[in-house]
Amino acid sequence: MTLVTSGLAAGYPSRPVLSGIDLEIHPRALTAIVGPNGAGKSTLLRALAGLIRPAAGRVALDGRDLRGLGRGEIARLIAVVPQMSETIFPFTVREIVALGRVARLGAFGRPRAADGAAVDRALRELDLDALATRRIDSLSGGERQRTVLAMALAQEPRVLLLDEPTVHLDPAHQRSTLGRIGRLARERGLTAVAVLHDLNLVGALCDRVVVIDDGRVVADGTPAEVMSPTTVKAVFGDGLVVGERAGVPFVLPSR
Amino acid sequence: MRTAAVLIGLGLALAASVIVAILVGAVAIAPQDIVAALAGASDGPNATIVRELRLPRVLAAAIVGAALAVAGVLLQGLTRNPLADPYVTGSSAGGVLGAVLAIAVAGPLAGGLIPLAAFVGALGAVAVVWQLARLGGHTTVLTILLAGVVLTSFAGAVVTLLLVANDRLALRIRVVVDVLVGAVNIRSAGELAMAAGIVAVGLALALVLAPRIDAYAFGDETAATLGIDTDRVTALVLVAAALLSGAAVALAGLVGFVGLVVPHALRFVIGAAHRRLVAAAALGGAAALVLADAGARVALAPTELPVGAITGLIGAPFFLLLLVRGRRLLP
Amino acid sequence: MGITRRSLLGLVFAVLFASCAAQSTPTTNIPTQAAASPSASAGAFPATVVDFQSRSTTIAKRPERIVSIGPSNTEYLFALGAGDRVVGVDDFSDTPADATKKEKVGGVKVNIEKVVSLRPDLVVTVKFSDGTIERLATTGAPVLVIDPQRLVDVARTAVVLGTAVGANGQKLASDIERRIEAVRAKTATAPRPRVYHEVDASDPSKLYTVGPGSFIADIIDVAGGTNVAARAGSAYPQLSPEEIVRADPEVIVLADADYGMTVDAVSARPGWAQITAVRTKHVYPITDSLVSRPGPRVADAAEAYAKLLHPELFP
Repeated sequence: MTLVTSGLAAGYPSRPVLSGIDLEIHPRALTAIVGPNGAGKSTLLRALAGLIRPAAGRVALDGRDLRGLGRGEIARLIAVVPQMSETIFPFTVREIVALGRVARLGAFGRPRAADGAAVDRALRELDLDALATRRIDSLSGGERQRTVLAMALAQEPRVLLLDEPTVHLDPAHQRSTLGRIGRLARERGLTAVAVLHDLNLVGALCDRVVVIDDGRVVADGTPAEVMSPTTVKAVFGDGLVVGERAGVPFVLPSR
Repeated sequence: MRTAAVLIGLGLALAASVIVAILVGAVAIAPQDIVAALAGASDGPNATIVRELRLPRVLAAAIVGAALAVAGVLLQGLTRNPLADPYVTGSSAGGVLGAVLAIAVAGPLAGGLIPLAAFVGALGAVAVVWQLARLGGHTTVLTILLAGVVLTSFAGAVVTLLLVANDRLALRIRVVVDVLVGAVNIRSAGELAMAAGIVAVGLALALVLAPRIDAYAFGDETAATLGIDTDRVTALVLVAAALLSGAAVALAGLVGFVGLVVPHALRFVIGAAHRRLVAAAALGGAAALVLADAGARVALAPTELPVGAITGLIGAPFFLLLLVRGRRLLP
Repeated sequence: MGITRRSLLGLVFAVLFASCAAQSTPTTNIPTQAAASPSASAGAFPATVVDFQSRSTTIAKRPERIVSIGPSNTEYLFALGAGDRVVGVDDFSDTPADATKKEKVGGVKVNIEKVVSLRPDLVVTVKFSDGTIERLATTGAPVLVIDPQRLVDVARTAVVLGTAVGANGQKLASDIERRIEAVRAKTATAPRPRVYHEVDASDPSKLYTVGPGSFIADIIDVAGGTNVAARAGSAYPQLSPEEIVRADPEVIVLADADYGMTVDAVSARPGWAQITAVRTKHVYPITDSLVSRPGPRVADAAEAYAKLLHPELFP
């Protein structure tokens, strides 16, 4: 499904953040949203998730304005992987993944066979079968990350939104998580969008990059196209050196 | 299935505690007389005591315990705060204020007016908290907690003022203490039946809402993205918790610790999923309070302790034990 | 919420324990007159008076400005003919009618400044455990604490107060004792019904009654009844409804009727419909100020009580 924003302006009662955002985000790809702090990346993600109403313009999924959909309907189409994966209470991995089915529960909340099957599939996809009965607070950061990702997959969404999914992970897990998301997107035809800070991860693992600065889109294309020295300097200032290795751009801090 | 085993165990514990509670009291009655009385096969003072004094009292304690424990589960799940108790949304403030006003106005004939005033006060307070929380725009769990704190402080100040300024209250101080510390008081069968009905509705609502409360595990916003209409679910959870804690305050005043500790303890045993937890809490809370009330009746017999003294004396060290043994109870 | 609740409870418990402490039973002493000749019964001054707690108070000259705290004390002062010398009374002193015209010095809490402003030369008060007695001493006047426990002490109060104000208390005491004896003699051979005397039941699961050491329990005894709380551990014990139901009183006397308790309300209590007194309609209200005050009307109280328990003997 294609996620389209037209003339999107959005923000919070005390301050507007985004203005004039026109984007078309296609399936079978992992799209990164990058930009300096405070640029409006998370706000954009929230707007894409239908969590905040546009002040102007609209967000549409395959032509349907999100404002016309109920929360349950949206949840069956769009899944957001939460940034934090810690819970106060000792849920098991399976119980967390099962949360993805909440949008499909009947009035009395009794899970059906299809729900159990979806949970099993999500667990298997993320290699969590062995950990299914473990309490989430006994897992490592990487395992918890996989759990919330499985939760999102259990929603059987068409769109997957992630807000800095790699921020607490070591480099190996950062790489494997993003790699997995990209692969899922391509194999299942998902529309995946991730807010990311690490430009190198973006360069290596994302199919497309949207650069937001000061509430506007300032660049939109493949990593090779977008991560040029000029753009990086314009958006992030001096102090970064852009290089390239086997066609993949990377960014280093300069001394 | 482990869940079934735990629930059956709790059910048996409840049955056992009910039996123990009916066996004990200010007046010693032989077990065979008690059985005869319950079977309707005897009359006389002993039978009257068992059927009209002890049995309703024990049933009331069970209802209050179940209501408080389930309300605690609901509010802890909603607020993602293991220190939330059933009174955190202001039902205690309203209930106490209502009861104290009834005592001040109606004196010794306050009688059946007290639980009614307490219930109305509790519901009213939660409604006020809900409105206060909405003043800032979008209602989140945080604003509800803040509004609850504000209302509780305000109501506490009013009650203090009444206690100091009103002579009638000063004379009926024991009744006021009962409300503040928590004491099971049944004045009529009608009162018990009505409370039972309200608690039943609250329990049913809690069971239906429970799977949706699980979705609050990562916060309000993630609950929304999982498909929860958070405004509606939050409101319904507040209603259920208000009915449950309101009925509890009406029957027994502010009984502490049951709503806080029982959910904690049961989470270790049955896990965090709320549907199972609600069922377990209903049984476990009922058993706990039935036993505590039996203790309150016999510890210093014939003087009765308020049951809140027992739940406090036992609940506090027990809670400490849970904190020490549990690993991650606080963020 | 925790902080508010704690401070509330603190306040409540302070009041509760104060009122509990007020119910401890001290030793009783027959008060004596020291160094007064028998003929100087109309009051010799200076007089030394020993109260019911064995405290000795010296009154230099005949008091002309008396502050009376406690309705029983006020009744006694008027009965002894000293009513015109009373300049201030507490809020609850409503008998005799003239007492209500006096200046008021407070109710549950005594307004010390008001007392001082009345320039008393004698303060007669009931017992307080919250420091009121100590504060009254700052008025400079002698403070006489009248705290009779048993019925015999109540009669003797007339002698103590008589000495203090220069009136013939002995005659009043003897009158009271004579009438009480008459009641006792009449009921001595009659069957003694089980009596439950209710002081307070605003919390129906905690019933306050009278027990050994209370003059009201003595009144019940004189009136020819058996107090169901006769074996309780204190003068104003609390019973559970289970005990009342089990004791099955034949007569119930409601001293809280003046505060709103009704016979119907009693009958409606869970389990009480089976009690003999309720079934046979022997539940009676009684005027609280008559039966609960350790004052000069105790003989009236004994007679009234006897009338309830033995109507055939006291038509």
